[in-house]
Formats: sequence, structure tokens, C-alpha cells
Amino acid sequence: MIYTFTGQLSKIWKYRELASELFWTYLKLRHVGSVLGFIWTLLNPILYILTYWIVFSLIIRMGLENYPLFLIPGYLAWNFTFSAIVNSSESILQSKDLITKIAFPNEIIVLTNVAVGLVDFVISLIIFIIVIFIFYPPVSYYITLVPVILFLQILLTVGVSMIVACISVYFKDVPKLIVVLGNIFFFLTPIFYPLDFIPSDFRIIALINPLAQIINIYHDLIYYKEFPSIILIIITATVSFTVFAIGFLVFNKLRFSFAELS
Amino acid sequence: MITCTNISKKFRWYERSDSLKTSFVKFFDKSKKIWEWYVLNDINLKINEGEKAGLIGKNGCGKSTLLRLITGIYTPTSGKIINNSKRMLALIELGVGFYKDLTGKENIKLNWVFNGLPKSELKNKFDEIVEFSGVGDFLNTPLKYYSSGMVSRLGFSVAIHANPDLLIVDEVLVVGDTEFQKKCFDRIEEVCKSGTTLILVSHNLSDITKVCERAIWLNEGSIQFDGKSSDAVKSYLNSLNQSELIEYKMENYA
Repeated sequence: MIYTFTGQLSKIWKYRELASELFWTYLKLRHVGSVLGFIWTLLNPILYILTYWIVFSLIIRMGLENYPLFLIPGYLAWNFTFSAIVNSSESILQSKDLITKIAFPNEIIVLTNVAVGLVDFVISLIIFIIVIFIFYPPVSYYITLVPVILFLQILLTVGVSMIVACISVYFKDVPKLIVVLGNIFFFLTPIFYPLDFIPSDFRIIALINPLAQIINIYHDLIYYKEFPSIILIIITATVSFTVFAIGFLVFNKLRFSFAELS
Repeated sequence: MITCTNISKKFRWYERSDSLKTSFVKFFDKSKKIWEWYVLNDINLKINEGEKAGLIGKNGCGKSTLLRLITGIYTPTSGKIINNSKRMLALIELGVGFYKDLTGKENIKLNWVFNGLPKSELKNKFDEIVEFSGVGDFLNTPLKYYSSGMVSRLGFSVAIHANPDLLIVDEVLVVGDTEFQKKCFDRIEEVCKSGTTLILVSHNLSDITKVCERAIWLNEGSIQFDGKSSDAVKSYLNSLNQSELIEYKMENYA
């Protein structure tokens, strides 16, 4: 099993030039024909964040100081993972032509999809960090740990995306289901409210969700400016690495019939 | 060298049902239908390095499936395929992996890496590729303004300049005008002289006898004949009945 995993990774590595070329292609083609083009990448989250800001600090008073500082990192992180999963769920089906007619490691399609989403996330994260420096000083040193948590989040996202992409080939309802589940989980994840707002009896719904833990850590680092508990980080890291590996293994197991089914 | 030992490929039909409704209907539908069938049955095949092999047979006899098994797009249901070529190039369909919003130039680059070839080698080949394809002035135009012939010419051109050690061609040359077809065939022959292994599928049997010294006749998923290409073609033609023969002649001499 270990052997197949490393073999799989080395095969993908062999095709890294394809991955980078496809990545640029996706980036280039994403906004073909739209007037605002690249601005959509930023406009979309800004509009949503403004809406949530108004709703949860003016209409429903959450009672958190500096609410945007709390809301934005969680929202951006959620947005990256969720849109990566949604895009991946359709990616294999959309690339039917490539999969049935060219022999290449199919994982690359999912990986490049996630990478394109990551670009958006990183750009908006950088802008957000500049915003913090201007509007919400002082900034704690803990913000330097954000890339580490980001890395864990990427592993988790890739893992889940791989699994979802495979299952969607077999059950074409999955992409639709993902969108619905995503909307439900958006409210069950502590994104616009802190974890301790959930009554302790129900807190389990957030605790079993690995993404909720990651967002929690972001909140600790950026909003509360305190070091998250080591145990939490270790658990999150373990879960992320496991999901990542499982994603590749599942993909490897199910890949054999992609060309016939999609 | 390609070694296929006892490979079989089974296709299932029910897996293609794409909604709950159809699977529900099928569950209660007790009438017997073909749910699964073998496209290829117990194929044993060995193609040596440098050999030029043709695949012939009627439509649906499993030629394309066999090619896709060899390239690794499909996985066999049972049996084992060993393909130890280092630079395999499969022309299953021309123009696959092209994006219509990218320019010809960008598409050449993308298609090159799709075949698993190092980008560094493209620099020396680029001008040759462009010249062979005859795309010329359209190089910086998005592919959507190309004619379909130009797209396939570009696809073929990228592939043939890759110096493969195994070239797999699946009837892709039916597109394009006769002049370009001839050019492609000359090029394939030229590439083969350098010791490239070739597996060619064609409905035009004279192409097979011209290019390949060996031909494999597939009939309903098993190998009917494997030997000298002229013998294979002869016995294949003998097996056709009158209407099939007329159909074949219509296709190739019309």
C-alpha cells in the first residue's frame, strides 16, 4: 500500500510540467469573456463578506468587537475549501475527453483545480493581512503561523477533493449534493460565530468537522491573538495528513473505471 | 516491448445509468438484458520492439479497446499487460487536449506536455511542428477560429515530432484531405524506420499492408489471425460477406 502511494506520487511528479501548464491554462481561461475578468476573484468574497458583516453586526448583534477581523479569515478559508470541493466534484466529468483519450495521471486534473482555487485564497488572504495592518493594529506575531495552518488546510482540501471527484464519477448526484451539504455546513461551522457560542452539548458537530478546527485555529491566531492549544494542532495535522493519504488511495482504487464511466 | 497475457475486458451497462430513477426502473425490470459483456476475451499478444503491427477487424471487435488497454487508459478486467516503452505516444483522437480559447502556439505547448514529454525538448521541435502542420499565420489565433482540418493537422504534427519509441495510431487519419493523409503516412513510415514500434488501426487495408509487416485480426474480442499482414488481410477479406465487402469498398474507394 505504501508502495502504491509513493508510486502514484512519483508518477504525478513525472507529469509536473503538465500540471503547471494546465494550471496556467485554467487561470487564463477562467475569466475568458467576462467583462470584469480577474476582479471577480476579489469582488465575490468582498460582496459576501460585506453582507455577512451587515447581517451579523448590525441586524443580528453578535457582540464581537472588530467583527470583520473575526469574520474574514474564517470566511476566506471556508470559501477556498468549499469551492475546491465543488469544482473537483465536477472536474473529472468535465474532462471526459482527456480521460478517455489521453493516458496521463488523472489526479492532475483535481490537483490543478485545487491549485487554481488556492491562488484566489492566497491573493485575498494577502489583501486581508494588509487590511489588518492598516485598520486593526497591533498585529500579533502569531500571524506568521498562518502559512503552517494553510498547509494543513491544503492537505485536507486535496484529500477531500480527491474522494469527492472519484465518487462523482460513479454517482452523478454527488456534485449537487455537495452544494446542498456545503450550505448546511456553512452554518454548522464556526465561521461567523465563535465556537463557544454553541451549547456544549452540541459542540460535537463542530469538533468532528476538521475544517471547523482549522478555522478555529485561524481565529486564535488572527482574532484572539493567542497560541492555539498544541493538542488541537496535532490532531488537526494528523487528520489532514490522513485525509490527504486516503484521498490518493481512494483515487488510485477507483481510477480504473474512470475512462469507461465518465 | 508489449506483452499482453490473457487479458479480458468486460464492460458493464448498468453502471452507465446516471440517475436514481433509471436504476430504480432497472431494479424492477426483470426481463433479461445484456448487463455486461466481454469486449476482449483472453487476448495473448506480444509485440516486439521495432515491430510494425496493424490491427484489423470489423467495427466493435475491440480494436480501440485493445489500444486503450495498451496505453493504460483502460485497465483490463483480468490478465496482465506489460508495456515497457519509455516514450509512448497514442493518437486515439486528434485534437484532444486542445482548448479552443487558447492560441495555436499555447495549444502546441500544452499538448506536448499532455503526452508526458519534457518541455525543454519543445524548443528545438517547435518550428518543425508549425511547418509540418501548415498552420502558419494562424499560430497566434485562438483555436476556435481554426477549421477542423487545421486542428487535426496540428494535433498530428505535435504527436509525430515527439520521437516516440511506441506510436499508437487509431484511425485518426481519416480526417483531412488526401494530400495531408499521404503526408502523414509518409511521416509515419519515416518515423518507423528509426526503430519505433508502431501499432496501427485502419479500415483501409492497403495502408496496413503497406506500413505493417504484421497484422492482427480481431474478431468479436478474440484474435482470429496473427501473422503476416498480407495473409491477415487476405483471410479477413475472405471472411466478409457480400454486403460487408461492398461497404468496405465504398468506404475506401469512394
